[in-house]
This record gives sequence, structure tokens and C-alpha cells, in this order.
Amino acid sequence: MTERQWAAKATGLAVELKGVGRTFTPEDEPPVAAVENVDLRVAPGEFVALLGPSGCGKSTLLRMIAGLDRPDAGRVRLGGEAGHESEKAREAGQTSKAGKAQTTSKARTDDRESGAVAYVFQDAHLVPWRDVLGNVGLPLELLGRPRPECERAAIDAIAQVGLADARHRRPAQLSGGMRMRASLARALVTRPRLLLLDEPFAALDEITRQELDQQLHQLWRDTGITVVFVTHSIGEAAFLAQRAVVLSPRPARVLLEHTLDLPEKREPELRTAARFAGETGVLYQALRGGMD
Amino acid sequence: MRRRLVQQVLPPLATLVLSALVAELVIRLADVSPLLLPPPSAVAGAAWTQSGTLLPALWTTTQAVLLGLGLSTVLGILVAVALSSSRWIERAFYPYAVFFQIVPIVAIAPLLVIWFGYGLRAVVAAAFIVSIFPVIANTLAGLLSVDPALRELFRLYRAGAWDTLWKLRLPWALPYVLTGLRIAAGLAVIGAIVGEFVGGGGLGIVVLEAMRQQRTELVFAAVLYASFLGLTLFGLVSGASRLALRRWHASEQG
Repeated sequence: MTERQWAAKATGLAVELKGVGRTFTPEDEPPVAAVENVDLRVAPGEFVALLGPSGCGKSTLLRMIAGLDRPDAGRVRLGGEAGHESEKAREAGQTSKAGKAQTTSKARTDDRESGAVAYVFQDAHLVPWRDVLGNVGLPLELLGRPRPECERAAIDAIAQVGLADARHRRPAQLSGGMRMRASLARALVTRPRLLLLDEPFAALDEITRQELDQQLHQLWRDTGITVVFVTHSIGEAAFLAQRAVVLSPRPARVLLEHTLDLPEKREPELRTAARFAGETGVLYQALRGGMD
Repeated sequence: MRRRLVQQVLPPLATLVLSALVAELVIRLADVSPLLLPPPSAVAGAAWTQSGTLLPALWTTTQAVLLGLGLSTVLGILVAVALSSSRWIERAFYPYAVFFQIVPIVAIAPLLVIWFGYGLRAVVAAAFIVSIFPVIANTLAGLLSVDPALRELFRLYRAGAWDTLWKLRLPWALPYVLTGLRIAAGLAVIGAIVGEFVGGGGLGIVVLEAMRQQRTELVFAAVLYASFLGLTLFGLVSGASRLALRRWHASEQG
């Protein structure tokens, strides 16, 4: 984060979910409600953790924010855009104001084409035949940017996650932590305004994980982008986020929205501080309450 | 490196020499008629003295095999890409692709001669028909096994169908394609020889002629040449596979 620092701070994208629901209907099986009636607002530049038990539907929620899945009830809105509504809402919109529906869908496309939204998966999911540089440059390449630009941006993003020395290595030659860093760099390369992370460090050992948490937090502070971080770890949610949203077991509903009363800059010592224990206690109680 | 080569080549070579010696000994001691089973020394002799016949025949067969295998590779990959493009297309057409797998090539070789006439084209068609299925089946498996998260990543950045094909699906399927080609290479040789039985030319005709003249050692010599061709092709595909994959795919590492 030196010369090519994101120019302006607080360029984050706002997220707004209204009455969002998603039910899966697998073949030959009863339908499964993954998400039910979720209202959520994330302010531009905010760091929010979605905390919930495994399999509760928090990934589904994140995928809907990313536009990788569509809600079948309610509406997801990003920044100033009109957002992807459920089928029903959209049909209603088309019958009443056909022209307006047209423009909203265009606005959405533009926003995503610029790579404003980035997504980090549970595992690194790098392309095995490309080296780190090729992997990190891939999003810009897909967005149709010229090669030199892709490479320059990739080099910056790689430096940002502290992986400059491993630039020309392939995924098979990297440790799990390095792979995850590369994955993070790939998400950052488009300079997104909204960064979505789906339990990104869950598979790493505790020390590496804390290191990456720390780095991610610093990155967020430096850039001012909006971050939505899905996790099942209470400690991770409390350490990283300004605000934690506790979700119930499936179907995911909001149990508690809690603003963490912790210093803005998070240092490793915080993990052992009394006030940190107090905050994790609050989250634990809420999570526990949802299980019964 | 040299040591590894020795370790890899020596054992099969020893097996070959040893079994040839044993065969030689048994055949001579039991006094088997050379019409039924010529001793390895006679086969080797024929392979050497008849090389004036065998080498041109080998070249003819090699051409047919390469053309047939080339067609299988290109068309097989294209068909697999088409089949993988939608569940419906796959369901509608895949059963008919299986046809190429189960078709008895011996039975339809005469048909190929009726369609393409005697000569190279019918033989190429025979080599093609028996070798395309493994290419289709393996490539399709590869295309369908692409990491779903990577598919989503490509979707997130609005990758077009072309980019997704070239930068994700085909490279992902490459190890599978190469496995298919390894199988197809051997099959193409079989298809070409059978095609030559009815379509004429190449090692297939040498085998037929030698059989009519009751020169069993020449039949064996021709088989030796055909095996050599199959082995060489297999080796080439394996080598190409190693070169292409060693830097990133587990199948060719370590």
C-alpha cells in the first residue's frame, strides 16, 4: 500500500438486504429454506462479520450479495444501484414500469463489470496451471483490460499481501497460507469497493490465520472498502469486525446485530484483553441462544 | 536421470529377453512346427530380412493411424465441448457417441470400403471410429469436472463463453484429454490394421498375404512392427503429457 494506494478512502459500496429469502428445491427431496427474511444494512466502508453455525446459510447469503445466486424473496441492493430483486418483485416492476426495469439492470451490469465486487472463497481455488502472477491478474484479464495493465496491477496486489517473492511460483509450490494470500490478492486486483469473504481462513492453522486476519484488517483500514466477512468463529468475528451479525441455524435469520466496542486498530494483544472476552461473550450468548 | 532411465527400462527389457529365450528353448525342444509357432529367432530373422516389405507397409499404416488419431483428437474434443454445453444436449447425443465404442469395427469395415473405396481413406475411417470414443468420454469428464468455485469466479468477472472455454475449461480438461489420447493411440493402430484387412495396404495386408502363403514367421514379424508402432505412439503421447502437465498437475509430478 504505497504508491498505488487506493486514491480516495471511503469508496466502499453500501449493501442493503430487505426481506431476503432463499429456498433450495433439490430434485426428489423436500425444499430446504437456507435463508429466511433477512434484513441487513452495511454502510459504505464498514467491516461487518456474519457469524453463524456451520451450514446455517450464511454462504448463501453472501453469494446473493455477490450476485452469484438470486434471492427468491426480497431484494439485494448494492451501493446506489437498484439491485437484483427476487423474480416476483422484478415481474411486478416490469408490468408497472417496464422502462425503469431496463435501466436498473443496466446499472447493475456496469457496476459489476468494473470489478467493484470481489469474492474470496473458503479455499484458495487458484488456477493450477498459472503462476501467482497469472492467477492474480486473471480478473482484470477477464474484464478485458490490456495485458500490461493486468500485470502491473497484479504485481501491486501481490506486494500488498506480502507475496512478492513467490510471484512466479505455481499453486502446487505454495503453502496453504500463501495460497490464501494469493487468493486475497486476486480479489484485490480490481480494487473492489466491496470485498466478500466466505470463511476464507478456516482451513489454515491458528497462527497463520491470525496473521491473515491482522493483515486483512490493516488492508481494510488502508483502503476504506466495504468488507462482509462470513465466519463460524466468534473470536475471528470479534477481532475483525466493527459490527457482528449473528445468524440462526438454517434457515438463516438475524438473531443479533452487535456493534463491537473495541479500538479501531486491532492488535494481536487484543485477543487476550478483558474487553475482548466481554464482546465474544455477548456473541457467544446470542449464538447459543439461537441453537436452543 | 540416467539411473532412473536404467531403472525404468531394464526390468521390462530383461523380461523380454528372458521370455524370448524361454520361448525359443521350449519351441525347439518340443519340436513345434514353425507353421504353428515359429521360434523368436525366426521371427527376428523375418523382421530383418523382410524389412524391404515391412518398412513401407509400416509407413503406410503409420500415416493412416496418425490421420485417424488426429481426426479423433480434433473432432472428439469438439464433440465433447458441444456435449458439455448443456445437460440436454448431453442427454440427447451422448448415447449415440457410445455407438463408436461398441461398434464392432470388423463388421463395419466392409461398409467403410463401400463408402470410401479401397485405400487410405477407408483405413483412416476405421482408425478414427475406434479411437474417437475415449477422446470424447475423457474430455467430457474433464470439462464437467471444472472446479465450481472457479466457474463462479469467471461468472463474477463476466467472462464470456470463449474466455471461459480457453482460460478455464479446456486447460482444466487437458489431463483428461491426454489420458483419452493414450488409450486412443493404441486403439487407432488396431482400427487401422483391421481397416487394412478389407481396405488394403499397410501391415494389415502384409499379415493377410503372409497368412495365405503360410509364412507364419512373417505374420509375427508384421505384428511386431504393429506393436512397435502402437508402443511408440503411446510413448509419444505420454511424453507430451509429461511435458504439458509436470509443472502443475499431480498426475505428472513426483
